[in-house]
Amino acid sequence: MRKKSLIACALILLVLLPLVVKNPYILHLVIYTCMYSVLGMSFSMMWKNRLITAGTAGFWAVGGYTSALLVTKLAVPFWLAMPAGGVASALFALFIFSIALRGGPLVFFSVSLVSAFIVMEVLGTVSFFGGWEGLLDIPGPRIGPYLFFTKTSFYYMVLAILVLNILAFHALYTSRIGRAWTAIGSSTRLAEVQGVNIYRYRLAASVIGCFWAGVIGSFYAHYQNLLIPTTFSFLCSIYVQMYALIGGLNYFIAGPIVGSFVMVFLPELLRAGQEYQPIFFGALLILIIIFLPGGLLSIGERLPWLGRLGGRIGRRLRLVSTKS
Amino acid sequence: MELGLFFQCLVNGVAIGGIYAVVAAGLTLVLGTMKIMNFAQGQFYMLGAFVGYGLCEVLHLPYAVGLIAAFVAMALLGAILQRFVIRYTYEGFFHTVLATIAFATIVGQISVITFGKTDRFMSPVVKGRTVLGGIVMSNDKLLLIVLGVILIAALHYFMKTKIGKAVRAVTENQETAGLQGINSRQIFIITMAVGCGLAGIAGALILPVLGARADMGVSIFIKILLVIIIGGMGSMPGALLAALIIGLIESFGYQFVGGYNELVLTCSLLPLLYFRPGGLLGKPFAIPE
Repeated sequence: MRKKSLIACALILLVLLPLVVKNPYILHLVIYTCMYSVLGMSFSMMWKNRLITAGTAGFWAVGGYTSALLVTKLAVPFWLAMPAGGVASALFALFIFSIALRGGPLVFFSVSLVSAFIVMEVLGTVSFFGGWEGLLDIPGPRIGPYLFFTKTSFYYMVLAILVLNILAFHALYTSRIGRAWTAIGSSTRLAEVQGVNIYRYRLAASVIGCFWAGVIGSFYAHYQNLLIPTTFSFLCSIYVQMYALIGGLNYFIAGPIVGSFVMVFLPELLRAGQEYQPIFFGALLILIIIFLPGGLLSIGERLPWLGRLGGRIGRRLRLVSTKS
Repeated sequence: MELGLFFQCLVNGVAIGGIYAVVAAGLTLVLGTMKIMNFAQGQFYMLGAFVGYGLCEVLHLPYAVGLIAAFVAMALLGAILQRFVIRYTYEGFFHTVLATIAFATIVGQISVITFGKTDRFMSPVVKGRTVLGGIVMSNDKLLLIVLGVILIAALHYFMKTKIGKAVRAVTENQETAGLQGINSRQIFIITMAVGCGLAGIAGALILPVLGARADMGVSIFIKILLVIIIGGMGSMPGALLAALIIGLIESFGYQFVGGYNELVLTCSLLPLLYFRPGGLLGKPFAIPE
């Protein structure tokens, strides 16, 4: 009960955020946080099955390019093109991973990496997709006469996508499918003995995850109004993995959100030079892996006194249930 | 097709394949023994090339010194990585993978900042070219092939020595090896050192032919991934075979298909995995839980 009210409070705060934050740049960063959260959750869904994907960026790109091409070349309305982007990404995932999953998790890992690389090469070399200069002049979404143009409108849109995504993933994780995924995650062999078809469940997880990556890719295309193939490089997929790991790999929904929030806002606070950022990220990642392998959300378990302090403050503020 | 052109492509393919084979052999050794994937392998290759460049071109030392120094320096760096980072990341396969990726990112970015994004070429080691029945080959390329074969043979004999036997025992079963008095931590450091050293010396080998470049590590790593997927994860003969195949496909493909070469190569991977999920000569590889 407490948890639900906490989530409701957070949601209301998020809805009211544009009234408080007038700086468009900060709003832009919040939009990016939401976008990366969706990507990170897509990664976590596969990680729940102990599948490591290194190709999130590729599926992101497939969704974005599909939607952008549909809108610019065929004049399909954005609201149809966005699910179409997701479906295209899911179909691509179905094709690639139905083959790759036969070889086990390591082959899945390598094939996802290679397929993201293929996607970037194809988008860059084939002139139909705009080449290395990118696809320009993608129109923003519109409802009737209202054109999405301001940061605030885009913020509400990405927030809606994020909330939908969280609801969908939460429903899946608490359903029979989610329990099967948990079983696969804790021990593949045990799950197999219990009669869980590992191949099918893993395939379902990767296809659903890639669907959402495609949807958010479509949002990205229409938010930025341009797509450049090098955005979807190997490094981008690695960043998505970092978001999930820094938040906490065992927190499948909250982990990516916390991780992407930290990783989007921390460099801004540090104001480090653009070229030194990867060095800083890498060093931070190594430190977190060594000293806090469960991610930032596990800090309460790692340092019991901090967890107790947090619990005490939480009880005082009536945020956490007094039992427990 | 002309016979001369055919042999020209053949030699180029074997030279490139030889480089892939040396780097992939190091990666396979680490993958098979420690059951981890070293994503920094490409960066070790790049650093090896720059060590060779610094010693041979800037300090004008003999090429052999550059080769050995590249091996030793990268072996040391690999041992340091293993001792101070990877040893503490045995939480799981994924943590180790991300730690090596983070290390690769740091190294890659530092070298982009220090060396810039320009190509650096070295003057040829063995001047002139050999003409054999109409085929013209630069002597450096021949030297590369010869040294590559020697390196693979050396690795083969290393695995027959006492340390090599210990490495193989740990590969087979870490606990049983421990019961025989083999310290697997030491063996892991040695394995990592040899694996990374091989990447470093491969970088120094390619230096006279292709030069050194700060982002050469990333591009070769994609190829090495293809090599070990095609050859079979953790299978040494598979990796060597696949490296040669990819080298040949690359050199012939460049002649015929041009820019779509890499696309054809990566797409041909999917049917292969469909029929042989474990690669050409390997078993389906399980990530340790």
